[in-house]
Amino acid sequence: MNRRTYKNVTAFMVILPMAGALVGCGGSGSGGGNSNANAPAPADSGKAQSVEVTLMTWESAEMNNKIMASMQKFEQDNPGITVKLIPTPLDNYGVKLNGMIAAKKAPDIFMTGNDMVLDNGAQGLLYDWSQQAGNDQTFMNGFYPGVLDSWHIGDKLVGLPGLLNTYGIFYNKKLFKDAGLAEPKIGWTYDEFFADMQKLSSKKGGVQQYGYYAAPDPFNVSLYSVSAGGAPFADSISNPTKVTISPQFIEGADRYKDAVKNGYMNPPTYDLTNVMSSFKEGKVGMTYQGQWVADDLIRTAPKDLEWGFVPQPVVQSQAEIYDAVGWCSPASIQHPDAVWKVLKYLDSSMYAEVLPQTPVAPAAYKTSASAYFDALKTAGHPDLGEAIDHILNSKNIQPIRFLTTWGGKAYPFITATWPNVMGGKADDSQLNTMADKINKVIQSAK
Amino acid sequence: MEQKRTPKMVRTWIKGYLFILPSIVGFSVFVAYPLLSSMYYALTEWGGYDRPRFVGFANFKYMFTVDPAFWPSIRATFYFVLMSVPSSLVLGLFLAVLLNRSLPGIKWFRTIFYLPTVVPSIATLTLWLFIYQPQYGLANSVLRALGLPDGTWLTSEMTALPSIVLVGLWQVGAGMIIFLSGLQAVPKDMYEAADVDGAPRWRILLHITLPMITPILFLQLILGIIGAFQAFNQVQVLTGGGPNFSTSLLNFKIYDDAFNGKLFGYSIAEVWVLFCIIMIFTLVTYRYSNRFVYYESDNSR
Repeated sequence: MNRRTYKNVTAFMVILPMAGALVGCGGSGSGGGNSNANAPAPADSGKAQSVEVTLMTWESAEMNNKIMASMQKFEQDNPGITVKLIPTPLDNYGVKLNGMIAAKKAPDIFMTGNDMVLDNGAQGLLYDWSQQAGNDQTFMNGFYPGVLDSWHIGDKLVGLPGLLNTYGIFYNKKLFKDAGLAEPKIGWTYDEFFADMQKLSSKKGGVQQYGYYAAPDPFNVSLYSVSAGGAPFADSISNPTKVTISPQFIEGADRYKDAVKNGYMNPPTYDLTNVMSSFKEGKVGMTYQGQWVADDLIRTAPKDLEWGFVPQPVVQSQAEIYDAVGWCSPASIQHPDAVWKVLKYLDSSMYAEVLPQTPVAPAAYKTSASAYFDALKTAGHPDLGEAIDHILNSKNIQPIRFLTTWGGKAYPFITATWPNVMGGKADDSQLNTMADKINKVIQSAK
Repeated sequence: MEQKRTPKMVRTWIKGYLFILPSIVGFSVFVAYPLLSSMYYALTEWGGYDRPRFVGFANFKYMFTVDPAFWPSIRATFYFVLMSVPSSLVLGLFLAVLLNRSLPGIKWFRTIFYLPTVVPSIATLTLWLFIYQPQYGLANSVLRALGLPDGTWLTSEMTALPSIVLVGLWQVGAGMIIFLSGLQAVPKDMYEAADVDGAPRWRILLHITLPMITPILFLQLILGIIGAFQAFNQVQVLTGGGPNFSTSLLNFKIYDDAFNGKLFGYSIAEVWVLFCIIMIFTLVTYRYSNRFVYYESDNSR
């Protein structure tokens, strides 16, 4: 190799990795509004500039199309603001979103669950909407009472709830009638509930048919405890400080345990994947599900299938579970005022338009929720709307799971103990051991 | 005496280093850095996207003394390896011996047995979900038709892991093909000599075929052990680690802790434990391989 060739080769070897590095660093900004996410967020000027607000949901393509059809009206009413959808499948949504937030490439608005809000908010990764909310009290007063509580971290409002998920019991009216049972109504009791599942169970043709299909976990049994005047399993929705196994909790757990032992309900390890298919075939008497299942039943269940929905039974007082999904923004958004306008529209007008077409859940914003209830009435299920409204107006709301980051270390204790207790392989004292271990996890996380 | 560095020698060294620079950069960025950083993260409490907090060996202490899912996971993993590796080897070899004949249409049979390997595992596993469905699944329907009681399959701690192993055997075609290639490489004259001596078939299998394919057997054993320790899809699709951790193989637990439990630092510590287990198993297998592996070029067995 002569000197000139050597120089050329050297230059090539140096330039090549540099060029590669530059290529690797380039090409960003396709995500829309955050290409310069590290820069301080300037206040929106009054100039008529074009602002693109990116929006990410985990919804199906069908639902996304309906959302974006509604957003066209928003764009017409708000010239200068365009909304761009970033569709993302629900599968591993949280992992993808966390990666985008860490890389400062998160969209201006993203759909989120309550646990993700608390987690990301605690790390200071979410935009604080307190100022905009303070200036917009009329809008903020439109939400169901209490639903905004778990979207606050300290005095910061780190997101807005969009839809509320409620949980209750879907039942087959014909199977109730055939068994000579009265249909369950709002306010029915646990005595009636366990008696009903007993009469609905059978073993015809060698196939075990349970009267009730569900996998009640400690959070679910906590409803029994609270309704009977006992302590809740976890003492707070957003940030539990301890878990408790009260005598009433044991009483509730024992009743479920007896139902499993006697074949009135499925064992804790039962595969519930196909329960709704069986429900549509008219083979399931009662099953515990989220209200969103109704949308599929309304659209695809056989016309002759008569079904109803009822809230959880009570011992003495009403206690319910519901959780919220909603909208958040990363702390680094560039145009907060434009984003706030989109957020308001999503929670109010968008849901009011979309939910009647796809009645999946009541909106956290009351006027939009009424559109959902109207849609259920039109579909011939006013009882469903009444039951959900009853759940949402409950004065006692319990958590559905641990929302905090230490949940990952706490859940294995439940998984290791709960199925054994419910299946009769371990005695009730194991529940206290389980609670002690979870409380140690909570203490060590402080 | 140290050789004097001439400008020509220095230029030669520089040229040499420049030529290996891409490899060094590639190794550093894609191997050394991830390896070293994972060692660091294993010693931290880290949710994956927040700032890691150094905790020393606390993750390992928690893993071995507190985590209620760790030892069941280790048990399930070893149980899975001990069940799936030998059964896959035996079945693969059995099929290969059966299909190592010149019969009309034998290629069709080879294709049929290999076919499940071509189908994406997720599709196959989803199909098995329907087969194992307790009330209306094919498996229990067949048992009922035979007048037998229902199987618990994936819903019982006793049967869930064997059921997963059974699914794995459905994809034994890949190993079968490798065995088949090994069998076809056995010199024909050995079989002819055995035939002339009037050796029965089982003796031929035991004293000619098996010794001649021991290198293939050894390769399959090593790959099988590593693959079984890293099994994931089966658990993710069929059981999600349940019931009661009975199918929570360590590789699945690592994923679950990291992405569902948001315990990234902790799960990286578990990765190192899995790495050590695989390393020990592989080294022990290598150490004792000369006792059963026969190489034609090597006369000392």
